[in-house]
Amino acid sequence: MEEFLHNNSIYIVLGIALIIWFGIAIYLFMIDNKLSKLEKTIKQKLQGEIEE
Amino acid sequence: MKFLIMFGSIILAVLFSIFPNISGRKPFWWRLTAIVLVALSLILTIFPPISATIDDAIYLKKGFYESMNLHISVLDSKVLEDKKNGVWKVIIGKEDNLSTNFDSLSFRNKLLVKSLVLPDEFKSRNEIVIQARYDKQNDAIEYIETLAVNPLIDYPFVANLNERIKILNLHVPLAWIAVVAYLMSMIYAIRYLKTKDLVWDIYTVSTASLGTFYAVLATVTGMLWAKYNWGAYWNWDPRQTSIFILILIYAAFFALRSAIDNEERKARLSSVYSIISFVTVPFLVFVLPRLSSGLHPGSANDSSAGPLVTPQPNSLDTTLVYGFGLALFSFTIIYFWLLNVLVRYKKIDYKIN
Repeated sequence: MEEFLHNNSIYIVLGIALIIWFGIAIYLFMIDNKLSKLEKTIKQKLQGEIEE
Repeated sequence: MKFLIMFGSIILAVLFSIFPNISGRKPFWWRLTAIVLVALSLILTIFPPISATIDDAIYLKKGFYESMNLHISVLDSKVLEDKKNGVWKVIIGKEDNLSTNFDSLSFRNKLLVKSLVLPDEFKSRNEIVIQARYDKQNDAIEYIETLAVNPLIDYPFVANLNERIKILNLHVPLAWIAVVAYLMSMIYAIRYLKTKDLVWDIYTVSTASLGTFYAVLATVTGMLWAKYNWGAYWNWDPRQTSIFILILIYAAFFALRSAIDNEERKARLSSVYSIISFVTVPFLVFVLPRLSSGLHPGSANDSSAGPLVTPQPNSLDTTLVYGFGLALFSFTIIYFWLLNVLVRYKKIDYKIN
């Protein structure tokens, strides 16, 4: 496996590109999760105002 | 020219990113252009073939490589057929006054195509990239297959790097934009201290976290590359050490922020910390790795490659620089886009809570 990757380095370059894309994807998912939580709190606050 | 492309692409990307505004919602065409450019830079990184010049064929003869990609110029009407052996003898090279006596030529000008039918690309004047090996019996280069005919861009061959040279378009922009992100963090920190407006504190922390994100990505991609080029994931190379310290410094920035409850106090202290920690960035990124000897290009003992990887000393290969410029541009706009999303999120978060 190591020998193969050493001789066909394009797969390493591909792996590096994938790491970057996965990194950005994870970052996006984190922001997305935070945003969903924020939406929940907004909803709760709005409902609280209506009940008052 | 080289510096014009490299710095010009960053400046253009900054101008593109702050248009129409830095914190509002980006228009549709902006996002479309960004995605197209990022995809284009990825295509320009992955697809172009690596090709050595004909002078590098000496590595084949010496037996360093079993087979290699060679960029050759085919001259028309210099193909001889050897029907007895079923071989096409092709004379290659840029020189015009080559002798037509095949056997008297240097091995660099002799190409053997061992097939019954001659491939079409040999029939006219073409620049082609082929995979080739060394034929000991005839002292010639033996054709294996054609990889590209008249390629628009092909990347240069550097001994021991092969396809791994393409990391230049992925790993280096990440590290550069991390520095840009930290610089922005300092600028916003100064702005906060001047105006005492908490919006600038949101900018400071967003861009610092993005800078750390980019620095971590640069480290991880570099580690994967180092495993196959230098033999180990982590080598304590000066640049590896300095980016490790840099990440620790900015980790302390986030630790500092989470330790303070009072918003004003948090913003004031972290702004000051951000300014102080940026002072270390030029030393850690630009000065220390060049002063000490190490594995990265541009180290003190590195006489061959200069600050950028190239077969010619002290200059970046011209075909490589366009892909690199485009990669810098696209990573910069990804940074500004993420910053935009993050700032918009944090502003709402601040208003609600």
